[in-house]
Amino acid sequence: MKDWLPVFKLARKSLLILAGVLIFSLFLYFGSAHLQKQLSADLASQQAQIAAEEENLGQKQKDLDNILSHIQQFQKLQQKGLIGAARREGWVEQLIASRKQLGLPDTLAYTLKQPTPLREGAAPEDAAAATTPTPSNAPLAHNLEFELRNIHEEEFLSLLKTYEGKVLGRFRVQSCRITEPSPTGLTAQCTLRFFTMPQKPAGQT
Amino acid sequence: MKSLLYLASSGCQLWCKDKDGWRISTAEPTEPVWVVTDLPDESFAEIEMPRLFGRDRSTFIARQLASRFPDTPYRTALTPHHVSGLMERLAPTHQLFLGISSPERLDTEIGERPITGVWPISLLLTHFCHSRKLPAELLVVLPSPEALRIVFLKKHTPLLTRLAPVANDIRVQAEEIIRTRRYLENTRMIERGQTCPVLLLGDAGAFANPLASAQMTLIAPPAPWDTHPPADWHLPLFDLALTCPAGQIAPIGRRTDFLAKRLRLFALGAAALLMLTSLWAASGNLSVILNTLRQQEQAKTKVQQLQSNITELEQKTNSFGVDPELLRRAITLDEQEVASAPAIADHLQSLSQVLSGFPELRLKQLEWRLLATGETACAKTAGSTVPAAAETPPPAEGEAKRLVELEFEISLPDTYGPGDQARVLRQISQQLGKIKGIALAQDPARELDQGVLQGSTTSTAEKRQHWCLSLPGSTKASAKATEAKP
Repeated sequence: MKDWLPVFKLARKSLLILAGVLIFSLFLYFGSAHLQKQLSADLASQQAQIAAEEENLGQKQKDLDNILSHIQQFQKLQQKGLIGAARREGWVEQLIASRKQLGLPDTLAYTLKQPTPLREGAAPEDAAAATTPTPSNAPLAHNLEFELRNIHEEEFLSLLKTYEGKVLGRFRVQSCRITEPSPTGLTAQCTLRFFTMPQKPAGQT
Repeated sequence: MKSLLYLASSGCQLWCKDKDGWRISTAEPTEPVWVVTDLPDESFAEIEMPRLFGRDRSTFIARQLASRFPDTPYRTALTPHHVSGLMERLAPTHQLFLGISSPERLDTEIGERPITGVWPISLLLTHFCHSRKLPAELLVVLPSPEALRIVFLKKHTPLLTRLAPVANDIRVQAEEIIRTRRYLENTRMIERGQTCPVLLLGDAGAFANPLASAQMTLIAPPAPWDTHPPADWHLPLFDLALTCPAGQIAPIGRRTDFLAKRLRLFALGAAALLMLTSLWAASGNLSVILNTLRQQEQAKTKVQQLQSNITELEQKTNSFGVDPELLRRAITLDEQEVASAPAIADHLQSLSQVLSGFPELRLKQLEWRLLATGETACAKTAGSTVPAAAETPPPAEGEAKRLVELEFEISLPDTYGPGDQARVLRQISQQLGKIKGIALAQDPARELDQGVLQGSTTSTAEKRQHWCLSLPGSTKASAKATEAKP
C-alpha cells in the first residue's frame, strides 16, 4: 500500500473531486428524501388547516345565515325581555295592572318563585336534581303562581291574553286549576313559567 | 500517439503508433511509454503451494516470488490458465512467476522516463497463443535477426522461455528449436517421440523440412494472421502490449505517472457517473419536492383566501352586534319552550264545545297541566288502566312530543237514573274521542262496562264523574336555527 501513496498524491485532486461528489450525492439523495418527507408532512398539516378553515367558514356562513333569517325575531325577543337580566318585579306589577285593567275582583294572590337553571331538553324540576353542573349562561325558568277567586272562565282567559300581550317577558302557561264554581265565579290557580336567557359577561367569548 | 520502447538484447528501439501504424521514432515522448522486453534473463518459474487464502496466500506468494527473483523489482506472479474446479480457481495450488533477473539494463534504458508498464515478450507470446483453437502444448518461436525466442506452453501456461543468440541462419535456428524439444523431452515436459506442434512467427516455409524430420509440425497462426501474416511479427505483439494485458512486471514506483493518470481518469469518470446516478436517483424526490412546494403555495393561497372570507363573514356578523350562539340558543329556547307550548284557551274551548250539548251538567273542577318530557299522563289518577302515551299517535319526524294532561270533574243532576247517566257519560266520552290526538286515561263510560256501579235512592248528593285525558301539543324543533357548535 505504501507504494501506492505517490500515485494517490498525484491523483489527489481528482480523488478529492470524487469524494466531494460522493458526499454531495449522498447529501442530495438522503437530503432530498428527508426534505420530501418534511414537506409532505407540512403539506398534510396545511391541508388539515384548510379543512378546519373550510369548516370554520361553513360555520360562520351558517351563523350569518341564521342571523339574517332570525334577527328580527331575535330583536323582538330582546324587546320582550327573553335575553338579559330578568325583570321579575315587572312581571308581577303587570299581573296586578292587568287584573286592575280588566276590573277583576281584588282577590289576586301570587308567588314568584326563585329562578331555576334550565338544562337543554330537561324540565326545571329535573335541573335541580341534576348531578352535572349547569353552565353559568344556562337559561333560567321562573314560575309565577297566582290565584284569583270569584272570576268567570272568560275573564280568566281574557286576563291571560291581556297579560301575555303587555308583560315584558316570555312565558307559557304551565298549569291551571279551576275549582269551586259558585254563582259569583270560580277559583283559578295558575302557574306561568317565564324563561330568560342570561347574556354573557363582557369580554367572555 | 502512443510510444513503445522495445528492449532487445541487441539494442533499444523507440516505436510510436499513429494513424499510419507503427514506425520507429527518435523524438522523446512526453507521455508514459509502453516497454516490451526481449532479454535473455527473463524466465518463468512454477511452484506448488498449499491451498491458502487471503493474507496468508498473498504473503506466501510474495515470499516465494522474492526468493525466486531476489535481485530484481521486475517480477510478478501469474495465475495459471485453464485450472479446473471451483477450489482450484479460488486458491490454486500451482503458482507461476515471471521476472527479469538482472534489472540493470532495464533501469538504464528506461531511466527517468515515465512508463505505463513492462511486458516481457514471452508474456506477450503467451497471450498471443491464448486461443483455444491452438494446441494446449505448443512451442512458440519468434525469430529475429539477432536471436531466436522460444516459449513452451503446456496447457496454455508458459513453462519455459529462452532466447537463443543465433544469427539469422535457418539451419542453426532449426537446430535450436530441435535442441529445445530434446530438453523438454529430457525434463519430461513432453513425451518422447510425441509430435510437437510449433507456431513459428516468421518465414515458416524454410523451417518445414528440418522440423518435420524431428517430428515437429508447423501450425498456422491464429486468425486473422493465418490469412494475412504481418511482415514483422513484433508489431502484433506491440499492439497486444498497448492493451496492457495482465502480467506486466514493473514496480508501482516506476509507473506512478501512468497509474496516477489512470486513477484521475477513473476518479473523474466515477464522479461523473456518481453525479448522474445520484441526480437520477434523487430526481423522483426532487420532482415530488417541486410538486409539494407548488401544492404548499396553492394551499397557502387557499388558507389566506379562506381566512379572508372568514374575516369578511365575521365583519358582517359583527355588524349585527349579536352573538350568533346567543341568537341560536334564544331562538331555540323560545320556539321549544314558549312559542310551541299549547294554549290552554284552545283546549278549554274544545272541552266547552263537547259539554255545550249537555246544559244540565255542571263542571265542578278542571286541571290543565303541561307534562314534562317523558312524564306519563294521569299517573296519579286512581283507576288509570291505560297509559295515555300508549294511545297517543306517534309524533312526526322532527317534532318533539309535548303532552297536556286535562283532568275534569262533572256533576250530574240527581234526577238522572242509571240509564240516563250511562247515556250521558257515553255521549261525552264519544264526543271527547273525536278530538284529534286525544287519549283517555280515565273514562267513566268505560267503567260502566268493567267497573263497579254504585248508587242509592235515598241519597240526594250530587253524582260526580271524573275524566282524565292527554292532549297532544307538538312542538317543532328548531330546525331553522343553527346547529350547536361542538
